[in-house]
Amino acid sequence: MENLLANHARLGNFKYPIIKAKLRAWLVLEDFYSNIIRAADKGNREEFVSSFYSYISAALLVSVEELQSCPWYEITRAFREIYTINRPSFDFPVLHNVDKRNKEAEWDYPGRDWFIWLHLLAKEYGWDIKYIENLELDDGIALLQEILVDEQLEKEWQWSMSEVAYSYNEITKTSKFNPLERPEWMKPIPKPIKKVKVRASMLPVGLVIKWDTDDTKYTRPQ
Amino acid sequence: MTPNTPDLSNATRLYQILGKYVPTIPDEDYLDYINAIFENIKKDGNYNAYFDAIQLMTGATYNTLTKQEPQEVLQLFINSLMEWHIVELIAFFRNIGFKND
Repeated sequence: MENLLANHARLGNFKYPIIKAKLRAWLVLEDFYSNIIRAADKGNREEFVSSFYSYISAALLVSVEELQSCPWYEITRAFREIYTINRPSFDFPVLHNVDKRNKEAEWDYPGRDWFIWLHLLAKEYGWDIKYIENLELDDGIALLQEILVDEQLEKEWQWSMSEVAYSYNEITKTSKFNPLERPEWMKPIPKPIKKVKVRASMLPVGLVIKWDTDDTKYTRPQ
Repeated sequence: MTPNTPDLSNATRLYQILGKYVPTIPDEDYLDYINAIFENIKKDGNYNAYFDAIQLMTGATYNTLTKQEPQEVLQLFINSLMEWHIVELIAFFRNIGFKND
């Protein structure tokens, strides 16, 4: 109830409540969002506009015809509100490096993401469709990540038991273990580059142009 | 003339027409900002973009516009861009990465 009063989108003379989506509704929104990004990337106006209306319509339960009569800035402000409210509460690594622009699998179809999630969660926990679609977003994502981590570690264990995981070096007469590649989100986070002090005498002489700022500004080395 | 609705489809079309003439860094002053757009169109010599944008926003025909004083047409351009929230429009399309060439 608190959410219902706090978050709303204004379209025309009406205020529409924005309710944080449950797992299935969130995946539907994410699917439309992917379409928006793909269409923007291609500069495809028709696809961009229709995906945008579909996103807002699905989130606010407003007809597309009604949205078409609203000025663009009300639509995009509503989009921003909906998107912000429906963001997961934690920065889940499993959502990192998800490319919204490419879907390459031949067996892909619109809305497949939901069925992948449903399949994995139902297989692991034996829950029914109704229960899974009404999972809180954070719970759904966290559990999916755990399933994927378990699967990956199991695969790595099986890989390490197999002889194809080891390459033999004829010269050194030793075997080398080649670990199974992990998905991007499971790879170690690169450490930030350490700042190194440079002696003033080694700094370049003359005017130093800073390319990242306005090209009329420059700094002089001390 | 009946002004066109500033709906999302028309806003996207407007960005496709004017996007490349808009300065990268938005000017705090609306008039300076719009003037920079106009100057960039002039520099490119693409007056079609100028007239297409006005026609899209106002619903005026090309013939009507060419019969008006240039100063009046420019004023129409300025007013329409302000009504269509041009600064917000450009920021939105650039943030979402809408391809425009």
